[in-house]
Amino acid sequence: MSKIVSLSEAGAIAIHSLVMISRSEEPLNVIKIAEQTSSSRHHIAKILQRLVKSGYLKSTRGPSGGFLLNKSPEKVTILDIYQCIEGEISITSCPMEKQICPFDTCLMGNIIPKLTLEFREFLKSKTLADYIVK
Amino acid sequence: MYICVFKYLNTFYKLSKLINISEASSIAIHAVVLVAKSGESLNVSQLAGKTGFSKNHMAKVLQQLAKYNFLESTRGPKGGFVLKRKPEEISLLEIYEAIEGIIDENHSFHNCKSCNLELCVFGGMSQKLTSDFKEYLKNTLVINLL
Repeated sequence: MSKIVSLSEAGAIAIHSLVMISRSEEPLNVIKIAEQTSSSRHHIAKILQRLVKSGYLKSTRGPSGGFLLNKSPEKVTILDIYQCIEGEISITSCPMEKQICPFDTCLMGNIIPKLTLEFREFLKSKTLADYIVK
Repeated sequence: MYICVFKYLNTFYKLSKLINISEASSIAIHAVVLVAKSGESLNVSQLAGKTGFSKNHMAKVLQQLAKYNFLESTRGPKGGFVLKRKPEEISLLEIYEAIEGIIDENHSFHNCKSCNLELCVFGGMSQKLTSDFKEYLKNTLVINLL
């Protein structure tokens, strides 16, 4: 089986963690997040550190310490989170990023940029606030 | 214009991709269409030269395409590859799946058993996009690209 659409594990961890942290009233730590997901504590810790550095989270110390959201949930889109970890999403016309091509029109007929754009717009339309169920 | 900017930026830092197609499948599709378009046989060097893919990789993919009966090789000094089946009978999906395997429409982003991130955050987006892509490949025949 092959797949076309891929989300990096790092991106998934970041999104997942932020959704969990947004939903929680108290700070969440790496252990609690690891329990709910299938990622390693080490990997989660690294990602959370990145998110603190980029201003999305703040960390609190102490026995009931952990991570808290540092921005308003309505202001953080899933796209922001993904791009913070993975970099800006590329929408080049050639899926292979080739500079030369023997064809006048791309054999893939624009499907890749079209789907990438669609996905990107979807990620942009969702904020953390959308996932907080009151 | 928009696309040019991204190509320029790409040389400075790595941009991420959401949709990935393998180089092998891209080589396969380009090779089959080029061979179909050409009146005569095309060899590895010619195909590699026209597309910018490496000769090594091209050779490997052409072998697979011959194995799956999309192309056949002709011997002799002007030897190379010719189309084995009719262009109106080959869809891009067949070529793609011969190289990469069946496209999994139910593929989910991540393997978290204890949560429904897929459903709650991505709302079935991954399945929809995969399905759209598969549909495009299925509906595009080699003859449409000549």
